[in-house]
Amino acid sequence: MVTDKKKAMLYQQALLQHHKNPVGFNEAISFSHQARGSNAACGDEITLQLAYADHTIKAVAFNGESCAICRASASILCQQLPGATAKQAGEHISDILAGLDGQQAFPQEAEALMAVSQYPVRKQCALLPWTALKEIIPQLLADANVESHAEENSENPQEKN
Amino acid sequence: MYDQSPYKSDFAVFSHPDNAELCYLDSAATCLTPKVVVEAMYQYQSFSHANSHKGLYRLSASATELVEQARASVAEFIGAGVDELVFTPGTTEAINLVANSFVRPRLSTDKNIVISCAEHHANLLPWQRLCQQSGAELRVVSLTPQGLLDVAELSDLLDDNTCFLAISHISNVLGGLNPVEEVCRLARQKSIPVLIDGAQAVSHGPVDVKDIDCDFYAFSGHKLYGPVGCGVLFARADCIEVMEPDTLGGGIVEQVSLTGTRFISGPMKFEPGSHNVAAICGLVAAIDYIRGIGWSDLVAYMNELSTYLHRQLGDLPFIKPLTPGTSGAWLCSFQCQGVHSHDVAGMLDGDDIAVRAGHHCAQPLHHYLGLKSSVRVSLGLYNGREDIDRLVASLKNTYQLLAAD
Ligand SMILES: Cc1ncc(COP(=O)(O)O)c(C=O)c1O
Repeated sequence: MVTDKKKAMLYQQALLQHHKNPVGFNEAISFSHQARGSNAACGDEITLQLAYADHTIKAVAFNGESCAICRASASILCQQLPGATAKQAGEHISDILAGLDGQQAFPQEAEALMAVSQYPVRKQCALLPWTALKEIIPQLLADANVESHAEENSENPQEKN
Repeated sequence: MYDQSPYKSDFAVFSHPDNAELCYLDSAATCLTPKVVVEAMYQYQSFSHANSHKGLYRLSASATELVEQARASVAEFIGAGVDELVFTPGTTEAINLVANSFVRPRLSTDKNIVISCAEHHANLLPWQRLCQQSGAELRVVSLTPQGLLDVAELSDLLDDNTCFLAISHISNVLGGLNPVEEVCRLARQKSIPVLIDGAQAVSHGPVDVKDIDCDFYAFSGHKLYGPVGCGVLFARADCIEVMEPDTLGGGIVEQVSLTGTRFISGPMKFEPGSHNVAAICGLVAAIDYIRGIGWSDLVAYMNELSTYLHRQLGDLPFIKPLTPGTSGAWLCSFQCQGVHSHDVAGMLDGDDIAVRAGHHCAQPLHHYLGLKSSVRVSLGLYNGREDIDRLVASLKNTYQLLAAD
């Protein structure tokens, strides 16, 4: 893998920090939504839980068995999401995806994942929590629409594909 | 023992500037290729290539001769007759061939096939599929605490309805040598045909299919320092005789009309289409390379190195081997306490150490052991103590960074 010696270290300090002190890991929250993500290639599984009210994500937690990359990624997710609307959460996902694909710089809070874009086989690990989140977002938006029943804004979330 | 392997310079890969620091510990997946093998393939492809067995001109005739000489050389290598040796693309295809051509026609609802829980998916899925399709039963033998086939249990599972037995000579995860002679003796008493998956074992010492007394023996050239693309199926002559070709195409027929076909006899009927002569030449060169070293020197070197590997890993309290007591194995599969196996491989990769992490195409075995995945370190001729020392240092660092508080 490391033929290109310029490659960044995968396990940087920032990532290890998240791995060792993951935000939201095994935290008990009273969640309104949850989704599971699993990686068939390695058998990793994580469950993402989310408390959503008043159009905002109040708290996020996760549990499950996974590698350090996935765990750090989930920790970053838990750090970023509280306070976000469903639409903003969708934007976070797009930013992470684009960062992992090397299409754009990582948002600063997610810089720990930066090197992953250079390790294609590990991208799936970093993606896992975000894929789980992606499953929840349409539900959040649906709830939001029921509540406020409007905002005929054009960017309705056809995120799912 | 030297720190560096005396055989390392036989392999060009380490002389490439990108690989000066390469520590390759994944030989159970595929062996690196010695220069003599690359050279043999290059020579053939550059100066002697033609379609074998078909052309009436000089170049084609000499390609045919190369293949047939190869057949004799490889047959001798495993104690088979030339008329019992089929070239296949690899172990996977060899096993599928036996499943489809030999076992399928003999199978019915009341029958059973016996395998072990340690099989590589290549020696599991074909049998699983046959059983699903025919309604036959797939019986699975478990392992001894040392990670070897439980022969007593096997003996109990074989009965009058057992129509086939397929067992690996050496598991690609556990690495211990299964008592295949004893297994074949048991099966012979009940007239049950046996296939031995020799993908791992063929590089571990001399194999004699007549001593083992199996009906089929399969292996791949690339786990024997040869190229990918050429494997071998030994099939006893009387088995070959009763088998119909499975994959159909050119070169395997005596006569074809639009309403029917008469196939040739002998091993060639399982080699439809054009032969991969370059890969076959590579395999012969690999076997010659091993003959040049000599089995006794090769095995002595690898045994000593393996002993060192197991001892060094044994000194690391956070390394938990999958099975105890497989110290004779030329590989070690383990878990690193508190660290996901993919992270172990990722960290080692950071130090340019190549190991395998995951289920190694043996998911049921990991399930049997109560695990999802493991890290596998496996040795080849190019490895020396230096590699194991680097592995140990990198493992310590991995544990320190990812697990220790
Ligand atoms: C025990 C065993 N059987 C079968 C195979 C399949 O070999 P190939 O991929 O060369 O067909 C392997 C390779 O990993 C193996 O280790």
